[in-house]
Amino acid sequence: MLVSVLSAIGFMLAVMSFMGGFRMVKKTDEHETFMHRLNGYMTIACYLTIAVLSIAKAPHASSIALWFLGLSLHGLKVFIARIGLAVRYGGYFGATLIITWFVVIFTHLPS
Amino acid sequence: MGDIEKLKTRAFIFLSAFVFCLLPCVSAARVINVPSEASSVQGAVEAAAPGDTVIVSDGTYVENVLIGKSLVIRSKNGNSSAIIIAKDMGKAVVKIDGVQEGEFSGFTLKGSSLVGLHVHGASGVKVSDILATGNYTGIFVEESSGGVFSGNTASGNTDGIVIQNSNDNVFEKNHADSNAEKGFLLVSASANRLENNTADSNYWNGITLWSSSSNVLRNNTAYKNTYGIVMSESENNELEGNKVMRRLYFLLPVALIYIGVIIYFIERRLLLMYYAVKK
Repeated sequence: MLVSVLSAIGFMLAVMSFMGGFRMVKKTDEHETFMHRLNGYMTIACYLTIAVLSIAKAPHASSIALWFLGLSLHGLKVFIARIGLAVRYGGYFGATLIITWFVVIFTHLPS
Repeated sequence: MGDIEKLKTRAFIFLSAFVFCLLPCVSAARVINVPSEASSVQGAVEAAAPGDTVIVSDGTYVENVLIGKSLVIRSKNGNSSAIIIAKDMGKAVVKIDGVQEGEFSGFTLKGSSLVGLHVHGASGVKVSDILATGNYTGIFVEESSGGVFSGNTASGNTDGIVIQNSNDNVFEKNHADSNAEKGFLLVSASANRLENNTADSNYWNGITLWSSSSNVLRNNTAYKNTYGIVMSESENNELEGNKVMRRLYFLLPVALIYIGVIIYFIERRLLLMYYAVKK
């Protein structure tokens, strides 16, 4: 249940960060940058927590590899933004992260 | 030639004559082709003796088939090519009644207000590659045991696959999807094994066990039903590795996106107020 709640919160934060990112492409305000980063890092924190809880419950190699792949996508998005290519590619990677969170939420729904 | 040698020769001649006399009585299993040797599937069933094989060529056959003997009935090219439509809507399209060790595979069965394939009082029958659609019940297994039902599809019926008063049957890799009521329904059925089946997108329950005990449900999926797996008055059933996701949960991400957008605007407004006060 905890994982389900965390994945729901993480998904909402990912949506919020994605929206902030889009607005930043149009206009870079101080508060917008702060919000985007805050939501983004909280999303990654949620992701890591869910990953650790899931791996602890079922430590399969395939599961670890997939969680690592998702984390790499998050890291790549941050890297893209840091090297100044956010306007050009940030939207694509942001959308990829939303898809990643769709996968996370659908695989952690209560049954 | 000694007496023993004579006796041996006579015995050999007698045995050979006996076997020769028996030969016409022992006939090999025949193969009857439909429609070249029999114009209808029912005609072939009536012409066949137990143990014979009926091969049905591509085509649409409008009839109700009653199989009351142990036969192997197959279509030539699978269920997409051999279609049986109920002539009398009030009867099962195909009924296998009181048969032991038969085989039935590779047909599309549709158009019955009762049932597509009705297996009644049978034991050890093998049913595979059947597509039952547009019937009240797709596949109805009643008072039967030891059967193997694999790779069948029961979609677009009121109920998909119903197993009633039947024991020790195996259902594997079947699809009971998109039915108006339930996917799999087990009523007073025990010791059946359901493995790797799908029961998705049915209006009510994916898999229902009612008054059914000691069944094994393993690695089945029940997605997008109102309820996934429902058990009532059922005991000692073994459930392992089944995947269930209710239809309701598919709306959850939409709701979360909506809530996320609202929270984003609230967060933005609060931060703007904070920066305004700060300046």
